[in-house]
Amino acid sequence: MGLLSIIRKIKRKEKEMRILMVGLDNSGKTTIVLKINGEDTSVISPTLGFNIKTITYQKYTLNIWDVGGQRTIRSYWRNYFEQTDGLVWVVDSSDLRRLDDCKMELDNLLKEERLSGASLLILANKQDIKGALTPAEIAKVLNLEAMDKTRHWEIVGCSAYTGEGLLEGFDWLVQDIASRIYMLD
Amino acid sequence: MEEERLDPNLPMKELDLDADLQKKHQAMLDRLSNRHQARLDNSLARRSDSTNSTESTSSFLCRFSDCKKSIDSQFADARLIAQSDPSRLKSHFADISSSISDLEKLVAENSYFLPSYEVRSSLKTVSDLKQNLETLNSELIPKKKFSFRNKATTKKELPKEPEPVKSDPVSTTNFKIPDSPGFRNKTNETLVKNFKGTEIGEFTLSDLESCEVRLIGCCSVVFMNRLKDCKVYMGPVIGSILIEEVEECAFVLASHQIRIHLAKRTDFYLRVRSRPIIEDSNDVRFAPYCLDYEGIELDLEKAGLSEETGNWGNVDDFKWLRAVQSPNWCILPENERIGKVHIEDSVSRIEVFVLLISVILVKCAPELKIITLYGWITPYSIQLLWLQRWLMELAFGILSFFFYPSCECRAVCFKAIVLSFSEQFQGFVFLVPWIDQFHGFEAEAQCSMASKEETCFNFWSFFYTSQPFNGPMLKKSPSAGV
Ligand SMILES: Nc1nc2c(ncn2[C@@H]2O[C@H](COP(=O)(O)OP(=O)(O)OP(=O)(O)O)[C@@H](O)[C@H]2O)c(=O)[nH]1
Ligand SMILES: [Mg+2]
Repeated sequence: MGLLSIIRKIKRKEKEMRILMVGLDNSGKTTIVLKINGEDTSVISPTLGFNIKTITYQKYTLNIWDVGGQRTIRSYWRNYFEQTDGLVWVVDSSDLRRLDDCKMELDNLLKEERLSGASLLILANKQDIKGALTPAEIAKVLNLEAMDKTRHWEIVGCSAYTGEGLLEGFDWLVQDIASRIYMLD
Repeated sequence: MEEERLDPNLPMKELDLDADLQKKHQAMLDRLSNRHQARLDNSLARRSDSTNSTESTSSFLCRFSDCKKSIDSQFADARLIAQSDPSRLKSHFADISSSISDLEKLVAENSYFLPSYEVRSSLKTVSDLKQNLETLNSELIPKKKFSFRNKATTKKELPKEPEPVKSDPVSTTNFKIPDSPGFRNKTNETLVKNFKGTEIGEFTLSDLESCEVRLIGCCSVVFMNRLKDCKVYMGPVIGSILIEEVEECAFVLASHQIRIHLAKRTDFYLRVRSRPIIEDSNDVRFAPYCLDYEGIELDLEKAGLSEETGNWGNVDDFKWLRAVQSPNWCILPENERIGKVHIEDSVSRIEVFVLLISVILVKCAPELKIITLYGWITPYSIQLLWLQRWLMELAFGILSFFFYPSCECRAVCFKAIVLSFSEQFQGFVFLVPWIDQFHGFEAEAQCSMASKEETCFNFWSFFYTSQPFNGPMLKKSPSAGV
């Protein structure tokens, strides 16, 4: 995060954070956002385009952008990179076959310059499913240890069904962003 | 088309004309407004969830095009400003940029009820505007000397497919991904799985050809990939179903979410809570769910799928940008639909019947090769399923036991029967030590194998070659026995 953007953030009136949720289709992004917001998650269609949710979290206002992950619309992801403070990468821990795909897309994303300052939260979702990989296993598959040392990242296991792990993940993300951006107050 | 050009205000002046004419006018006006409505409905036909969606969609479109117009004029202003007062350009661009993101927000806020076409075309417009802004920015405020680099990037308007990057070998070597439960790499088989009483998370079907798959009971996630010429019947899935690379198949599925990628010439009989989607698919057809097995009502209820939602026909094609019906999918005509499909998880009566016939035929004509025989009498749809195969083995075992008089051969047959039991019912391990008593016979049996007995061994080995169990007596190499 450059000096200029820090200043820009400080100038903002509210303590706003822009959070981008991405990941392969079917990973559970929309379900997670709705769950955090306490909404009904029983009927969710695959996201065509994107949703924005503004959520007050602790003393911050989170603007969460949930972008559809179907292959055809992944190329639109880059329209949302600008000014992202936090990046949430959602993984379907039960979808073993597409882990390669998942790794490739994440790697591509992390090469993106406009996202270089963003804190990265990896949610190993669907931990409630029997046979799902653990967060540690997901970390190995995605080879997270090899990531650029300057990146702030964390992996958390969660389930959008039970809600387990979600707050833990977002707590980390918000704290991490806050400590970088709003450190001056 | 002439009436369309008439000014609706005209009739006001003609109020005092005779009643006949007035009626005519009224009728025409009605027709006009009907036609207008029909046109609106037509363009919005794809999403009919909410009754007022027509209204809100058109109001969205108005707002959207207003905003777009004002952004376009901002673009035009930019050129003027560049000539008159270049120092103001930067802030002007910032304004445009914020207008664009407002527009984007507008799309996002409304995307939950908009027809998919509108969402995608609006998104496309937004991304074009961004691109224009970038181009204009680099044109009017040249920063870098190598400005052609910027221009080059603006050319690729269409989102390109992400290039397949070879995945890092490190990641795959330091961790072995375990296999999940499922059926893989099978041809010409009937595959049955009953989830009742088991706690199954995900289930996978992959690399199947000409198979029939029956999954009975509930599970939470199903993945299917690379199926060809298969029939898949499935009880309700509580989470989602993901289908990739299927060709010439028929699926009967119920789930909360269904995503279909790379499907060709395939029929789907669905019940879904949300809208099913297809991507990179063609010649796919949709019809309502039509499965029946004992206890399916309970399972459907458990999965929250007991009611027909009508969503089976609300398919979103992620590869189709237009408002008109996608050419990639259609509703399956009623006269081409399969009727209610009834499945059972054990061998059905017809299969037992076929089995009996084959046993009898083999007995009457032992010189016939069992493979040909079996392929001949078994209809394609009921190819060997494990239980059937096992029953067959058992029947042959028992038959051979009685038909082959020599003691050694009987012993071998008996052993095979016992083994096939303990194979199928792994709980019967207590049988295993008992089997050892027959070891002594084995060598003799193999040595004194007369040609008649050999037939018996032939089909034993045929049956066992693809089985995990490969009892020593079946390795018919002459040296082993000596
Ligand atoms: N068992 C289980 N299923 C989940 C969980 N989270 C999401 N799902 C299911 O996964 C499917 C996909 O969820 P979505 O939220 O639509 O996925 P998405 O990432 O938004 O997908 P796109 O919008 O296409 O990018 C749905 O059927 C959810 O019910 C979870 O924690 N556990
Ligand atoms: Mg979504």
